[in-house]
Amino acid sequence: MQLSSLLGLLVASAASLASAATVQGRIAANQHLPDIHALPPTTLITLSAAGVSKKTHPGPEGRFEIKNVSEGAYLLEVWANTHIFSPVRIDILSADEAAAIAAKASTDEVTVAPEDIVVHQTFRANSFSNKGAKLPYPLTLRPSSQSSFYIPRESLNFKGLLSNPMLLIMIFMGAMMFVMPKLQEGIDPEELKKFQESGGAGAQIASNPLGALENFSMASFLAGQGGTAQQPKGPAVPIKQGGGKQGGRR
Amino acid sequence: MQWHTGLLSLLFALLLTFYKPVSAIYADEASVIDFHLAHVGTPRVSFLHAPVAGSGKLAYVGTEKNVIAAIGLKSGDLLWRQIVEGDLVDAKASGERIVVLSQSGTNVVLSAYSATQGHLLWSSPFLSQEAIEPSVSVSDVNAVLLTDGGLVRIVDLTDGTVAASWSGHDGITVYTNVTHTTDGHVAVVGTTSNIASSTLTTAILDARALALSEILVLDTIVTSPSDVLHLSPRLLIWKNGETLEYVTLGKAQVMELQAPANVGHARAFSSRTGRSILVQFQHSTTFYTVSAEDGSLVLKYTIQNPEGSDHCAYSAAESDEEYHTRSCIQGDVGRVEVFGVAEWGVVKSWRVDLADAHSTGHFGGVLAASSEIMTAVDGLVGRVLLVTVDGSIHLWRDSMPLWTRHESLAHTTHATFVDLPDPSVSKEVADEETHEGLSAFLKRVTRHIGEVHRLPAFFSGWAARFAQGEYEVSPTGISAAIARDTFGFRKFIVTGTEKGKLAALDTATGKVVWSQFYQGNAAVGLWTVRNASPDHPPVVAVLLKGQGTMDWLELNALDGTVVGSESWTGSFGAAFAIEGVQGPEDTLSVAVVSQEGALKVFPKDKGMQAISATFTGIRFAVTNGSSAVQGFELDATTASARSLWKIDFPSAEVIQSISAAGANHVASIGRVLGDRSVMYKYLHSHLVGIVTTDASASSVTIYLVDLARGTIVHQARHGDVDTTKTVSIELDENRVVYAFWSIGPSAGTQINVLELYEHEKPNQRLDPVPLDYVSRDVDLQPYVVGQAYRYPARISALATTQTRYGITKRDTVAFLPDLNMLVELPKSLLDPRRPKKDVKQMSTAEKEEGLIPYDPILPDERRWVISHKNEIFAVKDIISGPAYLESTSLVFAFGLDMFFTRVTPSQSFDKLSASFSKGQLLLTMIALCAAVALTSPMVRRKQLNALWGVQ
Repeated sequence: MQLSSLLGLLVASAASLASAATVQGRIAANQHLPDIHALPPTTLITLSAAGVSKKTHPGPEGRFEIKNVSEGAYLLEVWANTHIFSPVRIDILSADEAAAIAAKASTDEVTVAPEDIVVHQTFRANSFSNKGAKLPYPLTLRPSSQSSFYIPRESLNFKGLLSNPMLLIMIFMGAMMFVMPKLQEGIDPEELKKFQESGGAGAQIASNPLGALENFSMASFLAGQGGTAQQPKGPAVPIKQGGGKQGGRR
Repeated sequence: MQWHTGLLSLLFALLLTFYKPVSAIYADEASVIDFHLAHVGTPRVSFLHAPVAGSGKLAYVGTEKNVIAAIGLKSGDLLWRQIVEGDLVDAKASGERIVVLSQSGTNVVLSAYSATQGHLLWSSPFLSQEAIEPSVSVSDVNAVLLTDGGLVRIVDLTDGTVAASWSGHDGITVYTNVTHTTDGHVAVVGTTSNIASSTLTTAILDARALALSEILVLDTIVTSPSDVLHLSPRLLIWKNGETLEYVTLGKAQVMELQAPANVGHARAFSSRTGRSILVQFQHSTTFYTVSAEDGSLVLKYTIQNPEGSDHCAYSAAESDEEYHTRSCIQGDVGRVEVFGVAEWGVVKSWRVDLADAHSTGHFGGVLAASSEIMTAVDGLVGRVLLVTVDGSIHLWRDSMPLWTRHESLAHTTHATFVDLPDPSVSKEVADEETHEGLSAFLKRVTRHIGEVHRLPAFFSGWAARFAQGEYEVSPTGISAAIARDTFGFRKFIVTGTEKGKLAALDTATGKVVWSQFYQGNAAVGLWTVRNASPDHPPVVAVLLKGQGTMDWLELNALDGTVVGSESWTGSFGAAFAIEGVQGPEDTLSVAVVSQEGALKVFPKDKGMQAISATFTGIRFAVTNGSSAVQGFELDATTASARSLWKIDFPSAEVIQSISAAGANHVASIGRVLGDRSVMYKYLHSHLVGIVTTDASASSVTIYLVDLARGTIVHQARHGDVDTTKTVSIELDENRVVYAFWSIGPSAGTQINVLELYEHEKPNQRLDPVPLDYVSRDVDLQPYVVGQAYRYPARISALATTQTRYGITKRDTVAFLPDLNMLVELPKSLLDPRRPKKDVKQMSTAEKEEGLIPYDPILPDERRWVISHKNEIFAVKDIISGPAYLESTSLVFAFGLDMFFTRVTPSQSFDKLSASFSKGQLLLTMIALCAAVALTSPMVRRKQLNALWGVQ
């Protein structure tokens, strides 16, 4: 009685072993994770498929294994608070499938030993059948980047402020305000008058857009009336006059 | 015209440079504006153990929440914790390893964690044939695991492999306990049920040669299988009728234990070395030592038990000498006594007052204890770890309380925000409002005169505030301990647990302010029924469910005192707040409906009035079985709930979750498009989302159900869904967000967003315009736009940020159980109107609406993580509440852990940024003044010259 039940149990466990594989791998250091011990012990490795959700954590050296995985295609992902990992696809093949693939890969000279676990790169939001590059097994996973949760506060930056072109223009204009009268003093009054007469038209054209800008009404623009209705009537004539007057005064 | 567009593009470019698409936490605000309470749950197993030989001891706990954790004894801080798979059955220490046994159904898992760091060293699953509770014993080199009621395996502690196994299955014997024996064997104890009587069967197995073989099988007759009293590496004690019998493991001779009293409620505890045994009888406690010669038990002494000895916890002290401790605590007060075995009687004792220690009280007595006795220069020093009935853990060093962990909060099921009283609105100010004319003026003048003494404090406060930039402090000069801050970030969060514990947390500190314990009850509802006013404190109401009894309690939210209560016998069906009757002085009305449909309303008169006054009636729905939903209407005249409608979903579908009803705090009834036309929102306050899954078809279906009429307004079905993984749903305003795990064509989490509008075309409303969707007799079908996205991580809880007026963007907060993180998913990305084209092809209207081109992939963007570096475990629910500032929303997640933070979905537009530099502003002003001072003589001269006509 006892022997038979024991035998039955052994047979049952042997049967379950035959169809189940163990997925082994390790998380390895790279430039994003120089020290493997920096990976938190709560890092989670999940193996998911329809109705299957197996979980494990990496050991102190980053090694992990997931036992009792039956045949099929799985998505293996690593979840760490500190790092980001890319997902991989794991196929646990049956003996026949493995032999078929090995036979296909074998050439006349070289025979390839059948492997029962095949790992491929996979891509999020792509069809799961869209496999990427084949990866070696046992798995070696490396983080693709580090987590960055925070953004720094922008503080007063004089260098950045000075490299702002708007500010540079303002400073230039401020400087010109002092420099221009000095320059004008050096010019012969007759020459200046001549210049103003000849360049008057150009100056008026140049002053015209500025006038348009002065008369531009943000409120009416936002109200959807646009500048088209006002522009032909409004700015052109008075500005011209104003501009001429100023020129005359100077 | 060209200038206009040029200017506009310039403005747009400027806006773009300032607009950050990603909102994230500022490094200087992390852990300042938020708090995280890491919990482990109520211990099922607790022991003190040194992780490295010769180092100080740590407390290890294995809890009801299936967490294994190490706690530092000095501070009470968590050193590490891990969630184990399945139900945690037992945890034991072996040197630098903590071995944990867990079980879920027939799947038994034995795993080992590093005692110092918490790394998983190995994990070995064992498929058991029957779901019988397994048992484990651990020695320095190996673990012995008993499963299936008779299968014994020796497991190597270095890698978890099975070194040897033995099966004791003979069809009639069920083995339940296993232990290593002091002479290196393994003993398994079980019962053999015969027709007439039960036999206690003990098998001693030789484990030395890494092969298990039977040495001795001992059968002794017992009256019932539960009579095994104690199994230690040395001894087995059991009850045989009115006597206690024992056997030294490995020997065949059964001996009778000298018992001083009747053995009815006896419990036995052996010391760590196993050389002494304490047996607690009903009225007395007896100490025995193990004889060195023949292993027999020698009675040393007996002492009387104190009154109420049911409230005592015994533990064998971790110590070089033989000591036992007894901690008897009734309510919050009691004594810890240390018993020696070498010497007679109590060698040390001290008083314990848990309420004194933290002035919050209400722990309900002691449940279990672990202790350590050390020999110091000035005598014995004892450290006792106490687990109280409410679930908290306390550590005492002699009569000094070292720390308390409020682990009862790990069982929280309900939480609500409570506004604190506004310190600037005093009772006098409120009183003034009631007067008119001269009397009001006189009252104000007298109040101002009375308040003059606060003026210096006000000025100094104002100056300090200006200097430090701490605008959250109010400069009133009134130092109220419990008061709202300027921006309303400080609130109380009142929580209720499944164990009957109520606790209030202060969001400013993250500490427990008060707690109440109602043993044997579970909180089934919690509401803030009245807000703070100058005359009244805020009031929370809790509905407690006991064994066939119901209790309604109203508590002052500021100090936890009970201000009203009612008890009745009955069942619990549903409870919900009745909307629309809350004024500043009014309390919120709550309806409680029993399973039989009997209605109770609190407060009675006002609530009933509210029900009668509601034009459409108050309606609600409950699940009826696994695939039907039934709708009811409250009837005030008969004080009952009347069944209105029932929806039977297809029988293969199982209801997974029902969302809360949507459409609250709506600021705008439409969505303005780029061309200034409006899409009118379908705002239905009686709409709920119901999720059903169909395992056979691998599908999930979302039903949007009109509660008032019992009609399905919209339904969406998705195939290729893994129905064994969580489906979450959140309904807010006119927007439904749900997430599930899809298996094809691509594997991963899919988030779907639906937005409901009144009409397909802009500027079109339903005809006629509905004032109330409920009262209509015809079906009002919404126009639904939806989009789907892929998100890298699994989602198990969803919530929407709520603000004061609802103008601010509503982001979705999600909990990621694999990453233990809370993320804030921007609404602009979860927007079903995102155009499926390139930026260049987008129309001006789409650009002006601020739409982002559709991309199916939402990135694993860690700057969205609002819990930043904290690992938040097992969140069950997330609630959101408004701050006083419109820009800010308060978010509180609870489950095993608790996490509170505040988020600004549209950036903090109504508050000066912390980086705002007052120095810079002052500098600019000074520079401008200087420039004016410098240029004004020049301008004056120029004007003068112009008048004189001088060049």
